Amino acid sequence: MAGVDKCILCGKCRADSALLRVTGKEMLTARGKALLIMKGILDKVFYIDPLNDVTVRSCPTNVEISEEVRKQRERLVENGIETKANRRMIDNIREFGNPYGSLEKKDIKEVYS
Amino acid sequence: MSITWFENLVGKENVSDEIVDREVYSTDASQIKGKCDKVVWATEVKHLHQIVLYAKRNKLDLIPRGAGTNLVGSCVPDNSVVIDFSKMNKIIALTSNYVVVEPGVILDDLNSVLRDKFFPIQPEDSSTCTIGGMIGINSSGFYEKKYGRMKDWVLEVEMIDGNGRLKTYDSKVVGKEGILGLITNIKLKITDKIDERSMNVFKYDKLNDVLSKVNELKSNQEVIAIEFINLDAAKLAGLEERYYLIVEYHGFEGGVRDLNEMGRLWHIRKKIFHKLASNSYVYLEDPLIPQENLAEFLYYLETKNIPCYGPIGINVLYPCFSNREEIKELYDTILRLRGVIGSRQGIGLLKKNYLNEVMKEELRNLKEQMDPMHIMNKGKVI
Repeated sequence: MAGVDKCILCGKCRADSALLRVTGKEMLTARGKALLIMKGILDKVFYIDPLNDVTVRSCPTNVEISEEVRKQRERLVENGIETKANRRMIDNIREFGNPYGSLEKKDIKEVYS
Repeated sequence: MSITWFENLVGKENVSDEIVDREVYSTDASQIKGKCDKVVWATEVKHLHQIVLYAKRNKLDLIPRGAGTNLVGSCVPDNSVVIDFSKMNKIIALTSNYVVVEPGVILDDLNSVLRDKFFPIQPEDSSTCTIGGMIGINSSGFYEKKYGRMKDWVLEVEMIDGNGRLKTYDSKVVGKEGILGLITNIKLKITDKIDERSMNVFKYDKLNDVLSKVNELKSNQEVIAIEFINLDAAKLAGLEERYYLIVEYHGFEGGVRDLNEMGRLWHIRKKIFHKLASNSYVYLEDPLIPQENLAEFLYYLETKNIPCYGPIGINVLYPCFSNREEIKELYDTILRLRGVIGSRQGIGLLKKNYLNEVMKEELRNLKEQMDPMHIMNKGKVI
């Protein structure tokens, strides 16, 4: 498996990008994220990623984008850049041991992945 | 230029000048870096019409973009507004002999709805390429020997030209890489699905034997595709180090008739670039070589250990390189052998110096008629 420096920007990852299908947005493809990482741009867009390895299948240079995105998320947290949903999920895990909060209430309003 | 005007027209969700979007739209598969001013996700023809008129008044540069997978910089912006057509992806009509689609439709999505019909322009990146992009470079495919290229299958192209006129054109606007206008709607011919198909894979140790077989296959009317893999490409792809010809027939002349096995053979062919790219051979060229010089060209590649594959049945080959500096010598060789540089993957920015003067003049004339203010894909092709 390779890091983003091996990305050749071919765009073959678009074929397996469910996020692209839904949104039409290039920044949500593996190529888009690789470009942002190469440029050193730290943005909340890295929270929008299924963190699966589907796009590696179509990548000619085997860039493991999920691992790269995971590293970017660590950097985001270190820099205090979080989404409200992410913060709430972490707080819930710490307090209740699961991302949804108090399960006894049976009123789950948000589902996280 | 103000983003407010665009937001009021297309909605905030369909335009962006944020750094993350400008960065990812500043380049394409060519790896050439430009500067994107903003991105608009096209959704409606009436919006595109207004954008063209606005661009004309304010002398903006508009870059139409499908998948951004071209290798020559056709989508690289120059302080431009990039128009992404990914959301204009509807199949509008499907009849027994034609289909009407929006430009952002992905080829495999079209393939999946055709059922007993067939659209015969099938490039290897069918899972990513858009119909609009295929129009832009007059796309070819595995079956060009029998079915020709995109322009042979286009019935109508609806386009907003640089004057802001929404008109329907014939195939004369095919292959113009977005320098004439924004395509809004495409009507394509389709044909009956080929039920009687078969394949053969021929392996050789001598290049002369390959060339003899290619000549024989070219004259066979049942043959619809002839793909070649040279020794260096085979080795890098993990295949037995021999020359390969992968051949498809319309009919049962080939020994392989099982559809799954045929799919497996095409999969091997489609993964050649992946294998080469993972070995650092990431720059692909697409010369067309005259028949009488094909042997000399293949021997040249062999002498230089340049991995190469591609549709030899139409005299097109895809030599691959790990370094752009090495390509200059290839160009000299192609020109010496009276070949064509950039025959199937477009001209864009990278190959404009190699486009012949007759074609340049034809394009300049069209440009003057359809985009006299030069607001469409500035600096590309001519």
